[in-house]
Amino acid sequence: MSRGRTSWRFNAWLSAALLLAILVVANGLAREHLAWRVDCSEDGLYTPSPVGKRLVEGLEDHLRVEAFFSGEVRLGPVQIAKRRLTDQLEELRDDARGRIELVFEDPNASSEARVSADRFGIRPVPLKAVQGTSLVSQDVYLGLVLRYRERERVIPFVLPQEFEFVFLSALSDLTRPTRGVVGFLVDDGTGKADDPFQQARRLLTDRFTVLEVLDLDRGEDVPPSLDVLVVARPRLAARSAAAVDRYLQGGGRALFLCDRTVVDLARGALTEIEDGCSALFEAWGLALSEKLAWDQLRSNTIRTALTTTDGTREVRVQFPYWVHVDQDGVQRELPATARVPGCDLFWSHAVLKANGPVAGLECTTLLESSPQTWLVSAVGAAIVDPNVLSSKGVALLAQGGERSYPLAVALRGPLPSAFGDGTSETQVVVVGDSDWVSDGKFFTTRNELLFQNLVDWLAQEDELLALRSRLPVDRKIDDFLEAERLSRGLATLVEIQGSSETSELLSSLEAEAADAARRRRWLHMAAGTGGGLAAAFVALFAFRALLTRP
Amino acid sequence: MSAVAAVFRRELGGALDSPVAWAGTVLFVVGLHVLFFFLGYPIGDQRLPGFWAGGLASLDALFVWLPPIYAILAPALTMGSWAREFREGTDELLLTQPVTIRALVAGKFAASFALLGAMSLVAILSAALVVASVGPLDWGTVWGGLAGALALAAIHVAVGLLASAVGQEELVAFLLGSIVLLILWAAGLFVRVLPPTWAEALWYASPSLHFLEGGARGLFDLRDVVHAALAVGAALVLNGVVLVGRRWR
Repeated sequence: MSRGRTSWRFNAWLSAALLLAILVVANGLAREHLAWRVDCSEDGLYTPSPVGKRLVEGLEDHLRVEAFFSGEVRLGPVQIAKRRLTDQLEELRDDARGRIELVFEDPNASSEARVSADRFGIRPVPLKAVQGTSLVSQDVYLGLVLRYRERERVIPFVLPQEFEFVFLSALSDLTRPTRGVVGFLVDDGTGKADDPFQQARRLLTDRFTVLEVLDLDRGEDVPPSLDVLVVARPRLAARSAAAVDRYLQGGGRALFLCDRTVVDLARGALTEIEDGCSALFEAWGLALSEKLAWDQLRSNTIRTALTTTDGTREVRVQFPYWVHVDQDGVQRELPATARVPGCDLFWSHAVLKANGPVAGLECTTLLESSPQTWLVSAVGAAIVDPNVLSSKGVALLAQGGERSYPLAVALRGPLPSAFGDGTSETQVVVVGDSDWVSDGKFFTTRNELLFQNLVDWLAQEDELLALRSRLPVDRKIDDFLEAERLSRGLATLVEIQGSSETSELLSSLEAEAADAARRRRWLHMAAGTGGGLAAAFVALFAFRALLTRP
Repeated sequence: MSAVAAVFRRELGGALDSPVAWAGTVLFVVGLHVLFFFLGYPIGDQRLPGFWAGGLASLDALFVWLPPIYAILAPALTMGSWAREFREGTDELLLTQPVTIRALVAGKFAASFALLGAMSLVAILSAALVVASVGPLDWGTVWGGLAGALALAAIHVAVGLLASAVGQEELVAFLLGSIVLLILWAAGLFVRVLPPTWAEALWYASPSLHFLEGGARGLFDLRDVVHAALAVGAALVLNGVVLVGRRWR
């Protein structure tokens, strides 16, 4: 018995060791050779996009990818990121069926590789992490160089979550015979170096050649080679407008970012400008409103000083001139805006459909304000006094007549000429604001996404548009609190400064809405959990009955 | 096959006759829902707010709780599987029956897995229905997460069953199983502080990381399937080896 037991112990330890070895080896082999997966999620963010597959499968020549990755990474999360990047690169190489050559260089280990990386502008990024009780820092290289037909693109640093877009954008740029060209026409093409659209230009330079369109009023023409003309805050003379019209009649596509009011908040100044586009818009059945959109329901906030009997303090108040277009106000049918979560417009004009539809021309509203919007005079648009804003809100509510207004439209089809009889098949987008793409804090991430999408849509860069649109769908849940506030009219009630009665009423209504919202949340949860438990008990009873049946 | 089915019926019938399974189901479903809807996941690097606070139609904060909860629940469900037989002496009777050890292990595993699987199904689907009623839920992720959760449950049950055979007493089995499974779960939390080679090895060894990086995101990855199958297979084979050893006592 004793010998048998000793032999069993030996067998047990041997089995455990063998199983462990099998586990490690089989897992390792599976990791290397069984890279097959299905992405069941609707967003499909974890599988290579069809566009990516199409791009690598369509390579006509040899693509060499040099990955400048640090070999020995001392930081756990970076090691995992590096492994994921390597997996993503290998996945693309497998899809390319031999047309992608992958070369790994370690600039931390080889001075030659370090010099090469430096030559390409690939620099180490200092990263830190706490390991045990000490802070570990390391300069990490995660850069790529793509070479294709004697052209090259450098990606100085990349992380797995942005890899697909960055890599495929670079690849798409490399494989295109010629780069797209975007022209910028600002003001009247005077070419001022300090115009406020530098960031917008920089955003496009990765993928397009950006040109300045100048001197239209001196008889120059818009270069017909442009893929897209961006007309930003125009002040076009009649001759310039005619040149733009000729460009469009030649099949050119354009993005109009128009303003009739420029506000300088710092100085509290307001300048009226004449955009010079009225003749063009009129011919297309559009009119840019003179007045500004005042959105009482969806607006961004502004910091301002509030003076009360207790003194002056800084507060954040809703500023209805700054329209926040949420996902309900964004066109979901057009690829350019289908996956955009919204945007922020500042002192925006409405783009009205003036003369009825133009035959054959398809006019689609891209962005619209909330149903509680008025068009108001620009006078006072630079005033951020909370008392003035709230009394204006009250006056508008009393006046009535609120509705949603289109703030950007897309035109597709035969575009009539403003200065002739012809029409031309083309695409144009008109936005009633230019501040949203101006340098600084107005150019938010959402605005950047919308701007790039509009340019790509006009330039017919469908592949890049599809790639950028691989963003997760906005999955916001119903806001019970907002719904309860709306049902009590709280969204439209404005506190009158100094009136304690209205303050008390508003507070009690707010508390009531919060309670009702809380009740609804509990009800939902209780229904789900209770229903689930009831189902579980029924299933377990049925199970039990089945098992005890002879 | 009929031997496995007989053991399965005996085990599941026994479990359903005791109040543990019923109370466990209530505690699991209610507890998981309270954590998901209100508390969120406040542990580690990837903290998540509760469902109502986060305001997004996603089950992320529910899936992320499954590994630590399974690490406690699975050993609690399986601790008696072998330990009770050893304590009551029924194991000797059982081992003399015309049933192979393989069939015994498979039947006991299937019964515990069916119970934990059914509980998971109820908890996940009822939460998903609530979420879908207030927002655009990605059902693909739910099905992926459900499949991943079942694979995760299978690994936890297999390890819990092994702990029950090794521990020989219910409390010891529960503690042993929980500690091993909690260590595997906590591996994900220590990735940041470990040397990279260890971090990478743990990344691939930990069932919870396979689940959170795969099924919980709606991914069906063959490597995760292989990992789960190997882990379950290894634990069950070792379970059989331990039982063979009982014959030599």
